[in-house]
Amino acid sequence: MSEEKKPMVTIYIMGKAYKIPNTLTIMKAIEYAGYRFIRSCGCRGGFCGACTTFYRVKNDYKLHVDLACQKRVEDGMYIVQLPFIPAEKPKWDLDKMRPATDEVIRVFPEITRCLSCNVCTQACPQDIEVMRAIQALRRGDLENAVNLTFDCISCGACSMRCPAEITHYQVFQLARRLYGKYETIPAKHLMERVKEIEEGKFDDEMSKLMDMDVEELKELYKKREIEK
Amino acid sequence: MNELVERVTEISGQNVYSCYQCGNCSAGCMFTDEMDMLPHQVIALVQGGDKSVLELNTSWICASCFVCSIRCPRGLDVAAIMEALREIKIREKGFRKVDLRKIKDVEKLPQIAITAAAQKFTW
Amino acid sequence: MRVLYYPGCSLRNSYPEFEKSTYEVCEKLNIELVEIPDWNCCGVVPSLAADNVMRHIGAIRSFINAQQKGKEIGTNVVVTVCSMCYNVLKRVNLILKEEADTLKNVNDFIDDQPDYVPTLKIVHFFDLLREIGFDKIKEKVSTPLEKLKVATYYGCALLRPEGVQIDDPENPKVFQDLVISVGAEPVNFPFKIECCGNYHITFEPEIVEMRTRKIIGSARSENTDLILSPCPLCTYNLNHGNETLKEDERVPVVFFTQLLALALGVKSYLPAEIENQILKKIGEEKNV
Repeated sequence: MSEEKKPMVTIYIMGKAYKIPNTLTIMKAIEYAGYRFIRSCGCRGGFCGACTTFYRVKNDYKLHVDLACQKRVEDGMYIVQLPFIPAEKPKWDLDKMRPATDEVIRVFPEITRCLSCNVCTQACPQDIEVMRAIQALRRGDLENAVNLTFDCISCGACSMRCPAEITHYQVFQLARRLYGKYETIPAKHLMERVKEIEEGKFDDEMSKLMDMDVEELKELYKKREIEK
Repeated sequence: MNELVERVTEISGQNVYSCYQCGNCSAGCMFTDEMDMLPHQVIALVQGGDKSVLELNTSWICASCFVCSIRCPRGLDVAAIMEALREIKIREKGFRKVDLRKIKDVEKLPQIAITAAAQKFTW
Repeated sequence: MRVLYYPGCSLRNSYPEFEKSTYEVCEKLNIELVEIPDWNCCGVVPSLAADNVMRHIGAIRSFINAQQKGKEIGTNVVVTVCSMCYNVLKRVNLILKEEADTLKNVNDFIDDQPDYVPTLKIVHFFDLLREIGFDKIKEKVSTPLEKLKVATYYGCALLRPEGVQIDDPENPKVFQDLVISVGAEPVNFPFKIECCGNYHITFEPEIVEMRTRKIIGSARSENTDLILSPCPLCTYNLNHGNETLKEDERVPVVFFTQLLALALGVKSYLPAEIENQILKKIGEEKNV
């Protein structure tokens, strides 16, 4: 254990000042300050979109967005977390839709309010070109929109900033699902495996597992094959 | 200058006092059948500072076709004045003229129609 | 000639036949259209509020991309076919040319792209046709559309407001010139510059029905075969109006590039029944 003192920075959690070692992420910093997460915390790995954090740095008006589990603290950081972005998912029926951008626009007509202001792109913690993807949909380019938004983790920061009140992550999810259902080549090995399951190839093994008690399962788990 | 004229001037950039009520705009407007009051009458109300003009349907029936603007002998952009009257309402917190999620026949409407309506009736 | 091309969402999402017939016509007339990379939706209608810069940023970002591409290929001319796009782009460019503080405001806000210097020239496809010359176009016509009566409907966006007009806003003639050059008969009807109802189709379609029934009725009174349209929104609105009329009162609506394509002997992307109707009228019966 190192005896060196790490350099400390001051951050403000909901307005209250705390001294935090500068090597910590915002998420670790909040726990270091003594808080216990019951919200705004998920995979801790930059993938689930739960820890969306808005912050400003002292003496600067610029608003920043990042994931608390990924972003290291900075001196003078003022933070607030947004554990949930309000939006009901509209109902759609993929079977009744075509893989075309006008289908997406009809489910989300508010896309037509897009002003190309680009705050969505500025807010994205995954560095996605959000505005470009929305405009790609308006240009009729479904494939481009889908490829641009593959990394979207539905954190919702873009939607909170958008003057046109678009819920981008829902829009992109529909676009990806339409594209995935109709345009992408189905994975052959996946189709084969699904067929095997439907034909009952794994039924026996599954029932054996379901019948085992907890101790047997634990033994099985301990003795499992681990690829080196 | 009254409050209404100030607001309309601010948003439209037009000097409403230059209107001398010739009626050319109303004569050229092809949507007057549906309007509560004619365009030149609306401008007269604005000049007088009568805020009830904001509750008339005239500015909402306006289709921004610009015939009024090109025919005004004083060079007033009448369409911009109509837009200012719309914007005064649209910019009010909580005011909602349309619901984009409740468009009838949205399956048939081309994107261009939805975009144009969104631009005119929402902020 | 080689020009920068702004397609507009409408052509891609709803009326591909308009764009495809344009490409066919361009090939025949030696016009090279270079699409602006990453263009944004123009917004269809410009904001008339003096303080609304935000509404125009879609167009302005497209200008910046056009500016960059234009430097590469050596042109500052941006052409568009959709009349609504033309109207917005032309107006926004004019605003930026005339208002230095708006230009500065915009350039300051868009800090992720180079500054826009308003040197682009926004033109409509008709400007290109005029530059080529209607007599030259006539020489390239292989299927003269004789006896075809075409009502030239202009709509609003190409003629109004001041500063954007491609011809005299009260008595334009340029569509008639095109119709004559393809061998057809232009029908000059009094409602040719009237508004179709614009965006009202979305929330108050009765207004559009009222307008378009009058326009179609006025065109039809001269035994018109077709209505020529320059605008996707006008086309949708006129078709909507047609649907409210009895069958014998309807007049088919075609885009001007489709008519030109047919006359030039290239693919017009017209629906088969309309193309057959036209060919029958001009005396050439072909199976399409």
